[in-house]
Amino acid sequence: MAKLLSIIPAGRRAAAAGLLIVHLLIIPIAGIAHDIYPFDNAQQQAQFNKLSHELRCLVCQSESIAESNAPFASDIRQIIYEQVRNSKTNPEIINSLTEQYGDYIHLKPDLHKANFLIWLAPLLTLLLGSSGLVVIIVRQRAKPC
Amino acid sequence: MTARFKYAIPLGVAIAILLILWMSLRLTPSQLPSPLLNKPLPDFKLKELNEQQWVSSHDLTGHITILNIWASWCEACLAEHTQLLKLSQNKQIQIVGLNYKDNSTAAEHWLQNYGNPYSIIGFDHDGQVGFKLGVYGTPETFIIDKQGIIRYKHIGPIDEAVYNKEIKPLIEQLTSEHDYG
Amino acid sequence: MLPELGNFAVMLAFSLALVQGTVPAIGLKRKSTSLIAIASTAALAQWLMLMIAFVILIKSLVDNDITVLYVLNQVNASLPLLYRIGAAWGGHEGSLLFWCLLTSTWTLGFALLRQRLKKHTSTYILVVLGWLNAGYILFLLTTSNPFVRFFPTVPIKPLGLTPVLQDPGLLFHPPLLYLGYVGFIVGFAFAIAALIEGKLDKDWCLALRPWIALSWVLLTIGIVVGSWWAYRELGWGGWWAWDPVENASLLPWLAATALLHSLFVSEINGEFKGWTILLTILCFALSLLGTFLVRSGVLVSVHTFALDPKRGIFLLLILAVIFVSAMLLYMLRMSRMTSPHYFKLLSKQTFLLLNTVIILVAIMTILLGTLYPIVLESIGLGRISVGAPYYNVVFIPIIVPLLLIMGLGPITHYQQDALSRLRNKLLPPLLISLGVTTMVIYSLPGFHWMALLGIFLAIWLITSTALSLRWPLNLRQTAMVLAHAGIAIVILAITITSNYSISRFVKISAQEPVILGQTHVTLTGQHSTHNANFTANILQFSISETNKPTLTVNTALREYPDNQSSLMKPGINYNFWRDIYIAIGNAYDDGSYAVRLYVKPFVRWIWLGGLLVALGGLLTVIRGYREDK
Repeated sequence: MAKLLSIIPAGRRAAAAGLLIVHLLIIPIAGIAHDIYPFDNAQQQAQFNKLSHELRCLVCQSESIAESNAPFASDIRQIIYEQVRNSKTNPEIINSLTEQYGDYIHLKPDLHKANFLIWLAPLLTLLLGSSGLVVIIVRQRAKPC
Repeated sequence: MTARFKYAIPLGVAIAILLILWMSLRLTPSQLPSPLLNKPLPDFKLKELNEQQWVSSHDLTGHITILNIWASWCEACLAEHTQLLKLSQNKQIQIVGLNYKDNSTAAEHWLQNYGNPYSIIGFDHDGQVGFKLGVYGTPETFIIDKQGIIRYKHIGPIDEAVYNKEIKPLIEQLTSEHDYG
Repeated sequence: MLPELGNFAVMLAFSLALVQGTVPAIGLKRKSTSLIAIASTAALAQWLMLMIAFVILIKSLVDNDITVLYVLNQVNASLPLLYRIGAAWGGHEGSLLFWCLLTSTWTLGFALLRQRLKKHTSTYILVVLGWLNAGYILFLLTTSNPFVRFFPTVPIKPLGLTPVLQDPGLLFHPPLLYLGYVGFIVGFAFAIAALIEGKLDKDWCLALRPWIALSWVLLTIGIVVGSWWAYRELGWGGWWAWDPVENASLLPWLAATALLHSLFVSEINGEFKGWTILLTILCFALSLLGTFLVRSGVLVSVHTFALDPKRGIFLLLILAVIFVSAMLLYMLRMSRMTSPHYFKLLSKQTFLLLNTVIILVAIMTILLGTLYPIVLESIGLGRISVGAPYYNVVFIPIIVPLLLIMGLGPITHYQQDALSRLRNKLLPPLLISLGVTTMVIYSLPGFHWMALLGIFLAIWLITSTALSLRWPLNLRQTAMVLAHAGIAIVILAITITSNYSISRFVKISAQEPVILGQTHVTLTGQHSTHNANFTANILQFSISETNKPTLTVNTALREYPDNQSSLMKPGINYNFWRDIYIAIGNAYDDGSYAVRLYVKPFVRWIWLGGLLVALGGLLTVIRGYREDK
């Protein structure tokens, strides 16, 4: 099935054309290669990097949006880029994407609804397990052996 | 804690994990459920392919609609084309195409060559409508009922099996729903 | 004709496995030495049969005998010889035959080198191994036979081995990983034998340890090679992605790490026997679970093999039979096996066991991340993703106490230690590591809290280990030092590379320099090459760093016409301290390219540290065999 699912060559060109416009607006310094997603400040750059690593490329299954060369990933990167430049917050951007693509696109499950267990369990078992072991060792000591 | 109970814990854990694995076998990881299922079709408005008229999401209500996302560069779309042509014989449903990130001339040629099952085609050149619909590959197919609610989504080409097992029964169900309801 | 012979050999191997599983057991009951002796003979004959089958499969691949379906699916006429051999484990059916062969190899190895154990214990072990091998071979024959013929009515043009696998990594990574994975079967058989006999003694622990350690060493190297392969092949500069299949290899590794440490406790006075047995079973359970996840198509991953629901059900059945019976046996027998305890709370044993518990929490976390989405989706709550960003967060509170205790353990005495002595012993490494960490952090560009934490933990581990040593080192101490220092280096490397890497994603045209921190990268030219089964568009980059000679790095966009696919080979320039990694994305119409550039300090130290860990394990293996004599 995956093989039949076509990926979008025309989209690539469309995205590239879109980028070109962005570049013309920013007026790159001649002779120096420029960022595909240029930002005014380091905070926005960091926000973009963090978000694009937290979202899954749905057509590649095991890569994040940041890493993939698939047209889908570059479409989503463009959306994130525009929203970051429009000073949207992380939850706003992630919500706008999960509304269309579902929670599956977010590689880091939200801390709400049924997901609290997955965040809580590691800490809880760590505390329970280590204190349980201590209790066992102390108790066994009390018994004659 | 009795000794027996303590030693039964691993057995319990093993059985629980085996049960989860058994459940997992029935899942289909390659089909991604759409969050739009059983929700109203998102609002959109765009030009028709090679026409001056506009087509909007409102045009899709009032009929049982098959919304098919396709493009002339998409090989898999050709694979499902015969199924769509067959479906277009059914006058109780309308088939709407969304021409996705395509070149309008190429799309026109493609339809001339292979036949046109669509009653309306929206021209989504920049993929904006596709994004609203959560499209990530082509072809994708939505079935929308008369009230404009998305009832079904299929990713990838519709083949004989998908048509018989999923699409045909749903269309029959929707038709009868509307007859009696 | 040959493939039919291969098929026949596999069937013979199946019968021999059954013989190995039954006849010696009868022999034990009737006290007949001749029947018991059949165990080793059957193991040898079975290994020979599987070896013959595997060689036949390789020959079919090398000869490109496309009447065999597996050959048709795996190779095409233009594939180079080495990858033809590698294709024997590049697909599902072949890798399963390879798997059976390796299981049988471990069995044979055990049959030949079982000096320490008593005759009946080792016979029980061989009986259990016989049944397990029979189960695997049955799975191979019924659902995944690599010798199935196929005569198409229309000629088919085979696509061949996917280009990602056409890399020297294919020749090392799967064999090492499988060898490690499969080896835990010996431990499982040990555990079952101990439960059947109701006895777990020092000899049992000492005999088991080298087997677990050897599997663990191979698995460690397999994981390290896999990480390095993914880094240089997948094209985004990552060395670990928390991919479900990577997790599947990490799980048994973690379990075996815990087991090795729990064995140190059990082998002294037979303490915590139940825990040791559970961990032994867990190692094998997790390696089988990994197999299930990879081969049933339940998880989507870069590694998943072709999907077939029948395989999933069969594998699940094997899993269920093995583990339900093992755990039942555990429940019934373990309550009768008492473990004496001699040690006090403040002792080396407590720290060893505490870390096995923490490792178990890590295992549980990964399992939860893997299984939780399955449960959610099964009960209709939709599909969620649990990926790298999740694990990177939840692993912090697990790793921190683990590393702190790793530093405490070696300092502490066995049985009982005094708090006052410990306090005095702890002060120097604590002060040294705080001092060194401050210096390191000060010299690094930019401050990150995570970097502070990671570097402190790594240096703490190294200094406290170093100060706990008493010269001259014996083999046991050397093994521990190497393994723990390796872990410290891995932690240090991960910390530095993830906090201090710099990257840019640029549109690059010829002769336009990209500035990347202190480094300038320029696309200087491109040319095409024609190779055995691909053509490559080579982009040449020059790298100039301040006060250093200019370097050249090639990045290739390969087209494999016969496979109808393409592959990007990133360009990597490395030295001891840093990697410069150049990956090509899409080409633009104006002849420029989207390029990802990274400078990754210390990234090689991750693999270096991993190999050091493996070396420590190897010394443990050697120590085991020495003590055996």
